[in-house]
Amino acid sequence: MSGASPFDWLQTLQALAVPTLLALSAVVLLLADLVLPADPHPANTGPQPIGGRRNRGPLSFRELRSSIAGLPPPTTATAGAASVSADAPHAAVPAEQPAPTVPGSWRAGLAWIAVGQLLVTLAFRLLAPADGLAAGGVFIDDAFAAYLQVGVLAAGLLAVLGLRAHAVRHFGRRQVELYVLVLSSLCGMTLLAGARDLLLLAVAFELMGIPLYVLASYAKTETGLPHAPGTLARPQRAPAEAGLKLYLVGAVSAAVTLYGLSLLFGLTGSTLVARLADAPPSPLLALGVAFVLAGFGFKLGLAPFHFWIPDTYQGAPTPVVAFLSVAPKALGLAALVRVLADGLGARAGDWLGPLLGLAVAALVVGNVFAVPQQNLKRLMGFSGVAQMGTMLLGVAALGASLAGQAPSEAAVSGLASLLFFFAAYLPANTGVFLVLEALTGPLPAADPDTPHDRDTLASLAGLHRRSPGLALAALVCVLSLAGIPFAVGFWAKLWVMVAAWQAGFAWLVVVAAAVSVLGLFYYLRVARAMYLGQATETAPVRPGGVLGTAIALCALATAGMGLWPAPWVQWATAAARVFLGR
Amino acid sequence: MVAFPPVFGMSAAVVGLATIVAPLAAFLLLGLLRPLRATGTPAAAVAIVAALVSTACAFALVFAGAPREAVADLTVPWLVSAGQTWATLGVYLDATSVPMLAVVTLVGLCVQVYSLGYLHDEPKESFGRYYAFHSLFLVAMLLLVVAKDLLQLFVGWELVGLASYLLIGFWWQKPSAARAAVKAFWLTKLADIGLGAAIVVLYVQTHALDWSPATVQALGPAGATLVAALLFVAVMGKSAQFPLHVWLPDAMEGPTPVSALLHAATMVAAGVYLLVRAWPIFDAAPDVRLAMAWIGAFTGLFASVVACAQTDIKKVLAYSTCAQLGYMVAAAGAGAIDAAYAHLIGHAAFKALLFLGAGCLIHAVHSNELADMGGLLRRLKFSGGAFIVGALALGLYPSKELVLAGVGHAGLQGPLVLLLAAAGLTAFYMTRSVLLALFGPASAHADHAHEAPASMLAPVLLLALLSVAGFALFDSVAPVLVAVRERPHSWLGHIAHGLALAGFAVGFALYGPRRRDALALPGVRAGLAFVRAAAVDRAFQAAYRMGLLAFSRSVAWVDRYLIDGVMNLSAFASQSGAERARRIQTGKTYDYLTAVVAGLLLLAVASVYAR
Repeated sequence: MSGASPFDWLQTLQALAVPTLLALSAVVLLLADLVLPADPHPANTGPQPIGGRRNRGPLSFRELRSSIAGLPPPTTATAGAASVSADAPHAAVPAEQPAPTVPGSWRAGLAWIAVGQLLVTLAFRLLAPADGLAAGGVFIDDAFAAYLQVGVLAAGLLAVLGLRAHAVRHFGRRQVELYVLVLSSLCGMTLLAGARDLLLLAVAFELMGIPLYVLASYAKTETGLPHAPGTLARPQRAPAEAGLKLYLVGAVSAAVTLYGLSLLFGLTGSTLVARLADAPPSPLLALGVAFVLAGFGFKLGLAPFHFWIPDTYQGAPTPVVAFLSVAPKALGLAALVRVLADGLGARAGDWLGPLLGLAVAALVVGNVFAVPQQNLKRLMGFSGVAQMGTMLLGVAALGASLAGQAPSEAAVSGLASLLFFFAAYLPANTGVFLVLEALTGPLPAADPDTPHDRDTLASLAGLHRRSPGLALAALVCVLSLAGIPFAVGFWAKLWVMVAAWQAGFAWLVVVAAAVSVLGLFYYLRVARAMYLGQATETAPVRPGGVLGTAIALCALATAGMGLWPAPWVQWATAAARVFLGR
Repeated sequence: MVAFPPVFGMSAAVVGLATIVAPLAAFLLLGLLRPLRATGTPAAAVAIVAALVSTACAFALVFAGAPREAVADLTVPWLVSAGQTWATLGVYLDATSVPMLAVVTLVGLCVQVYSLGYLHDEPKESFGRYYAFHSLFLVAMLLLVVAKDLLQLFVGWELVGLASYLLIGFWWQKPSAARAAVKAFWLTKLADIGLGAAIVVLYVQTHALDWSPATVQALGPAGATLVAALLFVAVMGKSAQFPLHVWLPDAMEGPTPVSALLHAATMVAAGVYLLVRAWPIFDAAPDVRLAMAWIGAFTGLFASVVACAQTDIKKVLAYSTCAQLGYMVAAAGAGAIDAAYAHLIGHAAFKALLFLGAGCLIHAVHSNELADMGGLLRRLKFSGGAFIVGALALGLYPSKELVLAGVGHAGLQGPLVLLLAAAGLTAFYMTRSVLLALFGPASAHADHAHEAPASMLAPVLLLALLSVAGFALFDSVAPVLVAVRERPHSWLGHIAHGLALAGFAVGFALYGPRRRDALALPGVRAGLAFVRAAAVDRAFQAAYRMGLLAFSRSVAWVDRYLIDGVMNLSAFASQSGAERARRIQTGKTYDYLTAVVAGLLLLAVASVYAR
């Protein structure tokens, strides 16, 4: 940081290139959606998108809500058209018109723009050097940030690929906003990866979170389904519930985080994370950090801040869950690591106790609650809580080492194992959700009131006969999540546990290993359903090219990293070394 | 480190990599593309072309004119942690691995071409399957050969075991074949425990998995003895040394080309190759080497005796393989590792020739039994002649003298006597097989016998020429491949030749024109009964029934009632506990928020008090 000019525009722009690119991409996509003409088949318009009303003044909250939830907008001018189309969608389509079965499906091409934007950003991230400070040290672009950014960009790419078919089929003209929201959330995530300022941290958290609330509440509409004349097509309730729960718990957590941040600011007189170490030790400081920890606990889905997870996962669209369940968590961890290593440094030891408590709670609650689940999405939700608990082992090793309670190698090993764990977790977790999407995504929302009964383990039964490729992909991912040797999840778990062991938390490793046995049980139940279960249906499942590519990428990445973990391990180690300055 | 000269204008290591990638590509194509596999002959063509590429690369490496110290290393870190590399993956070429590459690929190629004719009656699908397995075997064996450390070698070693299992059981509909496959698998797996344990001990002691002098130094004498002993257990299993040899004769249930490839020339040699490869470790363990010399020599004599009493031509060859592997192990035990390696390479050529020649005879009479053959030379001049060439090579091959000289130099009189006796017996039983199968009165089948197709004869011809060339040019060829000293023209060589000639003579006397039943000679029957292979087999079966099965049953009981009981109890507890606990997941958002606030308070209290 040069003292003369604390704010160097060029440097800032360079360091913030990735979030900036993503923000621009979102704007471009939104503009493209606005500029494009309305659907050429007016009878097929379906629910109005936000962008489709560009000449109609600002949106009311009701409009916004109904737009998101797929309800016909309440304004009279469009309500008539929409309800006509909803009442008799087939009757309104002229017979000679080869109309697409789903309104707005011709807009699906915009997904490719999003894919291209993400690929460009990813390529830029991989090629551009990662060293720079933005805005006088508020944001740092280092190898650690770059590693996380690559991870979330990959997750975003998989999410867009996974979303496309779902969006075309179910979201009609609302589909473009979907990608805009993914890009906005990614923008927040990439900011968060390098944020070294409490204020930026808070803003980036919200930038990441708010699009996710909206994404989670996207509901399938029932266009094309027969329903009683004179009634409106009702959207599912579950996604609205999912989004609302995510939002409410998230809002409370954000408030808690902000309150903690305000306390810290009051104590240190600076918003820079690095100044935390200068604060005089006081109960207020402890309180402030505890509040911030609680906020991170929500993002990470640690017990007892995890209650939203199963409900949200169950209700939200599956490809959204695939995104929601990985990327924000990695960034929550990154923020935690920032505060611990950059901010608290040698005083991190004071918070080891609460951290270990959170880890044990997450491990036990996640694993135990996952056992009786019949719904695969809920099962994955709880198991995700347990996985986060395992990742906290690496954080604990890092903290103990920073506090001088453990050898200094434990810091590198703890942080690197954490980063590697994230890389291992990302494709496996995404892959399971995408396979589920291939299975149940195309189904219409048959009964708006009980839409959840399709994502059960029973729906996976006999998948191996129906679609051997899908079953194999899911098997690879599930085995990795369970930590079977020579799957990448095994190496990740092993490394995290070795790091914790080195840091002197042998008891924690024993606890983690003991509850992992439960993990073996419920993950293998998924495999058993696919390979030994009796299929009630025999029709093969065809995910389609785009979703199939995404699933194949997940399975190949999981298998490849398991067979040849060395480059990823080296990458994670290098990022950890840079971050810790060793 | 001297660099390997470039081959085909490329780095030698890349060419070495190509030897593996070609069969790997064939295996993936045949394994993944079912329609291609089901085409039969085109599928075979894919595998053969891959083997051809592989062979060409391997021979280019042999004739690259590299100095003996040259090394080509193309390895990448495979398993790493924050600080160190545990294991590497890649291609490591030096004077040890390159000749073996050539042997494996050439024999593999010959056998694949030969199988075209031998298995042409198979259904197309299983024909393709056969070639897929063959390619897998080549990949595994080459992976083993070019390994730079024990872990990659272990991966190749186990894959070779898998490929062997699949190929022995190729005719899985035959109960005996299925049983033999399982038996071979389990016995070698049992021995592989030694390799696994050796890897663990080596890593714990030295934090390295290679066999470099530095590692051996770090291992210390006691550690080296332990690791060498554990490695040797694995060698005994793979290279069929007494008493772990019992799987090899049964493995002859596989198709004859498979026997030629795996159970004569290449796979069983993997054990001896491990001795050569990890020689620094064995070199530092004289006690283990003494045991090796005795076990090898005893296997040599024992298997030779048993071979004399076999009525199945493939079993004769199987026991003779055991015996020759015993020679190699004994030479390694005596410290003459170059002699062991030379014998490995020579043996690969003429044993493959013998098996493929025997395959032609079997193909002609549709039986393995010597009694069903007889007088075949009149009809099968070419294959019969090739078989005779192989038999002569087996009896008189010069590398045997190197082995004997090495054992003699080391002053190991006991093993030397055993090996000399085995040399005489080898000549005897080969004469017996040749006379019974090719001469004498023609059997009922012999009248319809006809020569094998060209696809079978071409590899036989190639191997016969190689055997003859190896025989004639031994003194000039051997030093190119292996660092052997000049062949010692000592009295040992003369004795060995004398004994071999005596063996030929006795065999001729007994089974020649005035054929007598050897079993009727006084004492022979009793002697044979003593050393019958079945005796060892029976001992294994008894040990299996009384020892292993009883042990397994007790373990099973403990597992079922104690361990499973505890597991079931805890599973029940956690499931019912979870069922109960899930009730706090009410689905009501205000409950969730309550939990958030409660967690926050707990954290705050803990943070304030933990300071």
